[in-house]
Amino acid sequence: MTPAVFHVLLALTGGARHGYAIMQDVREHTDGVLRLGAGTLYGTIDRLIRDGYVREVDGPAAESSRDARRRFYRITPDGRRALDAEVERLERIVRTARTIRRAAKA
Amino acid sequence: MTRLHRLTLAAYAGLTSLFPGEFGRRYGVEMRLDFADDLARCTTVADLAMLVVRACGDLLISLAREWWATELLKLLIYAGTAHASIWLIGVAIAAWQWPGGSRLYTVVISFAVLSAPGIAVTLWLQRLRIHHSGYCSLGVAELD
Repeated sequence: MTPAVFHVLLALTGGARHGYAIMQDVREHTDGVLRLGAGTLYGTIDRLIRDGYVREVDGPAAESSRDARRRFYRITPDGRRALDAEVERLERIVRTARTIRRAAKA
Repeated sequence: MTRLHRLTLAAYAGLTSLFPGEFGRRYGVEMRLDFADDLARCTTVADLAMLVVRACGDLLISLAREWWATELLKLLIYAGTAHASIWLIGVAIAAWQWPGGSRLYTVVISFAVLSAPGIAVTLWLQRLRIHHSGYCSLGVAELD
């Protein structure tokens, strides 16, 4: 799972979001280290939709015509499972790295 | 929004129209809205320059990725490679001055020129399959 895919799925665990909100969330979650451009973001969303990890949903009632043109996306159960598996994999890597470092220090 | 902002937005909109059909239609409007929101936050020329540099980098990479995904770019690259190979054979024949090489060179170059449309059409009708093992082969067409 690429960092972009991981962080997009992570941003969507908080509920349905439109693209710009996902971008802002990713920037916030990574302290500005990962800044997804629009092309990268929508390319990632497009692939996630095709893989069944994300689906498009109706957004809340739009306050302006500008908001009405935005699409909202929600993580699917498959997407949540894939994210959980990735988090578990990353945790295992960190645990292994910590164990090795502790052993090296001792 | 200043004139510079409007010009930048128009240029960005122009670039987003370069995305392949389906992707451009589906996400083009959202991309422009997102860029307009980022643009509205730019108060200095330095902010604007930074935004433009980032957006151009992102667009270049994602344009290549999306076109690659359509297979059209792949077809063009392989058609170009096939065509260039024929030209190179002609050049090699001429350079080595084989007996009758000049006549053969003319034949090969004529073939290269005449075969170009044929190669393009064949590649278009057939799907060029790239295997993960690193070689490519021509498969029977699965026309959409």
